[in-house]
Amino acid sequence: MTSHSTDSFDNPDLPQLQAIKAHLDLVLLALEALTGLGSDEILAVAEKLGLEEILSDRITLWRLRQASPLRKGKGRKKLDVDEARAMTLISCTLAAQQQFAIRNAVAQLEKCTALKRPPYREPILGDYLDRFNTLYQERMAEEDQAKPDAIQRLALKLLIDLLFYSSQIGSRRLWVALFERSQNS
Amino acid sequence: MSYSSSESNTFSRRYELPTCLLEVWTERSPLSDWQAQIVAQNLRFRLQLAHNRRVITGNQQQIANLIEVVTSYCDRWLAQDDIETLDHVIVVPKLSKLRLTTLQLFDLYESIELCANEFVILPNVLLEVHRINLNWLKIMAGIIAIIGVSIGAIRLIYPPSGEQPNYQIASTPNAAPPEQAAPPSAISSAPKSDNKLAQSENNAKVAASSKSTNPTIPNSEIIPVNPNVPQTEQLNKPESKPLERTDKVAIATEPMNNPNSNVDRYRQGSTTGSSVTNDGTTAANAIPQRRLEVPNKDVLQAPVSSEDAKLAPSPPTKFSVPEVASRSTNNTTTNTANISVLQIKSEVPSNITANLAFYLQSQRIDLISNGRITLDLEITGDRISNIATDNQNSTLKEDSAIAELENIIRKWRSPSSTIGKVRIVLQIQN
Repeated sequence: MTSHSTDSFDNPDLPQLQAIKAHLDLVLLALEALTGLGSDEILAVAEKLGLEEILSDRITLWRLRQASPLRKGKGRKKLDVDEARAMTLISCTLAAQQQFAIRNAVAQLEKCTALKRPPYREPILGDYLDRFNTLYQERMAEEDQAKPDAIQRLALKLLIDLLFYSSQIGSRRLWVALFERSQNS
Repeated sequence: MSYSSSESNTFSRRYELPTCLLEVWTERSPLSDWQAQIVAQNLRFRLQLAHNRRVITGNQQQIANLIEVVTSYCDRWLAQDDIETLDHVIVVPKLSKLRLTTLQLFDLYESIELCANEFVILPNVLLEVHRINLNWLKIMAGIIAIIGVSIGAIRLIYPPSGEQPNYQIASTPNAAPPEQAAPPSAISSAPKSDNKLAQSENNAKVAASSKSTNPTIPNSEIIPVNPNVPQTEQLNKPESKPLERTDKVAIATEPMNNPNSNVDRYRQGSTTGSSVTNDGTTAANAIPQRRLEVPNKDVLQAPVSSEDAKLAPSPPTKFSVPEVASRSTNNTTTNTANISVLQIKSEVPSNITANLAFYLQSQRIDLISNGRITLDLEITGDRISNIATDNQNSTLKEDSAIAELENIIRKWRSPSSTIGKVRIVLQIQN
């Protein structure tokens, strides 16, 4: 932790905020990779949740996701509390809608782990890992790119996170996770 | 999840997930009026985990533990960056260890979160357990008190042999020997073969009463002893009186002058009981003990008791002589009254009670008084902190005697620190 109390809360480089922004972007990335949904579905859910004022169009969505420090833009974009909350609610609503798919993938992961088989050999998990890897390499800054097996571990970890966020009270869990991550960073 | 509330105040809930079924039955606590959610009361739960058909049942405290442990485990686990394993071992206090896969953990977490969202589950069972504990404490305290009191009472009714009674008997054989002309040291060990029973009693008292006679006196006494010449004694005794009085405290309760009253007191039997048997064996047995207690007084006892040995055996016809003797001894001890403990009801440990009783019976009051007195004593720390006289149950009325008695009691020190009340009935007798 490199921050000092003198840091302004508006400072986008504040490490606590960076961790929150990175995680929100990654959760949506994992959802995209697993279910193939895109910005249209995300904006539809935002409207359904009454968050269209915060998340009205693709550009706003893009800007919010560009806030992640892992992105090629280095996360110079700001993300305020309302926006973070909106992203949280949208992610969890989408996860809840896709709970069946998420659950299936986790079940497959458990099974292959128990049998000590590599996850990418499994049909659902293999597709997920492929897409996740592609999306990650497309969007994230080249110099910060992790090694392929690190990206795979991240993808599987996010898959499990999605399962927990897909519950009825998932948004609370994601909110808590954001808070925990900001403390850990 | 399905709802069914049979009555307005009882609820049953069923949270069914693919690998986990949680059923909950609970009453509605009156506290619910102040909460948005229902506050659970006397909750019971049944948790069935699919993988091994295991069923866990428990109460409100246990589900509260379960919720807390599982929630914090999941929060921590989800906050990790790397996941090492998909299998989980969760230890819940007062429940068996849970071994779960990630999906099972998710379902369990989901079900208990749903339950916790619906009900406010306070660990109020703790309060009930606490209450039960208090009751048990009271019962245990009661039992301990009863045991203590009964041990104290038993000790009083059947006193342990070998305390005071032995001192009395012990003095009799010494008193007995007629060959008082011999040096005093020899006398003390002489057998009492030719003594009569009544005589020995008598001797005991007188011996005890005169134990503290001034060491210089024996010589003068020995001479008058053998011949039945009480007058000389009379002359001698009064001189030694002042000394005696001061010393008396050290010895047991025996300074009785009148044989009859002495026997009476034995019968009232605070502690004496069997001691009155004057056969040589008990007496012989008792000797060593007495020696231990008052070795330096052997010499002094001998002369006086020998005098009595002459007097006492004589039947009533010769009573004139003993009268003189007893009068003379009276002079020496008139002003002291014995204390004997008739009853004790005690809250304090029996060894302290016994110590107090023993102490009291070893004391005497420097006044002529007779009667019973009932006292309520409070022991704090190692001493008596408060003394209250129960006048209704007391026949001892002399204020001075009571005052002196209280003085004696206040000087007592408990062998170990304690707090408690003792009700004690004492017999004061000259």
